[in-house]
Amino acid sequence: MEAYDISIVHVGNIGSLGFAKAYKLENVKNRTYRAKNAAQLGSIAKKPLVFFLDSFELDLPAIREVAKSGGAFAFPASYFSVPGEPPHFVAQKLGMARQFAKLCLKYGARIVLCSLSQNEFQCLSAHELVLFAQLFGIPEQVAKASLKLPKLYFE
Amino acid sequence: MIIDFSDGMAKPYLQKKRYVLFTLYGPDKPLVGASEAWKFFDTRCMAFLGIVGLSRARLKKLDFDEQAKKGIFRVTNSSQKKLCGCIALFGPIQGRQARIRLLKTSGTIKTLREIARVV
Repeated sequence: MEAYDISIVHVGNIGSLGFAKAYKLENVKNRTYRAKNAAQLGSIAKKPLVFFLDSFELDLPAIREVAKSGGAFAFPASYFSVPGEPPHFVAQKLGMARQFAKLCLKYGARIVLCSLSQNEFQCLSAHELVLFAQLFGIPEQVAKASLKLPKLYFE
Repeated sequence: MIIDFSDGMAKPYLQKKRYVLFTLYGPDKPLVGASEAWKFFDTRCMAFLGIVGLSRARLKKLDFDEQAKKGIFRVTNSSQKKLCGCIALFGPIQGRQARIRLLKTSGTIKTLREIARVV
């Protein structure tokens, strides 16, 4: 399985985790955009970028716009696994992200799965990312395909 | 008494099981013992799945090799993906630089024990 990851730090031994390459977020800044939520994307949603959201609050027009432009929403695993965070916060985040992913699948907006790890040991393997995606109801085939997408956007 | 299972309810004793091989990963891995690893595993599983989810998963902890830092647990087929997805989100063990990483799932424990010896 050809898979690519996005991380904050440089990850050395990426091959053992099942990835062909890990893109450092800093190096692909011109192909990504970070926003508080989907509603704040505005006109930038018309660009085919990878969008990192701080909150997965639903905004249907933005999802439709991103689907139309060929952009993608990133689902970073590190967003859901903050050490020491109370379980009900994680549950809330997962619930919102599940709805968001469901609408992305419905309207054809692409999903990029990544670990976005802040240190080397936080990095998830490709197999773990596929399992992580299934928490959002993303089918296995779609999850595997989404691991190939970073190459499409960053090269 | 004959119980009719034709309404879609699965016979509990017929639920297929999966065995999952995991390892500890990270620079602090040697510092984590079996009891600490299983305790962390229990608390996080409870936090993610809850009492009802855990009862459905029929989780059973089987082996833990102290030297290789590898363990095996058993879970029902229907809950395997959910549980494994949760494990990916577990994070570090008790503030240490060590976490649980899934290696392989299998339908028989024999296969996993053989793999654990090789990997």
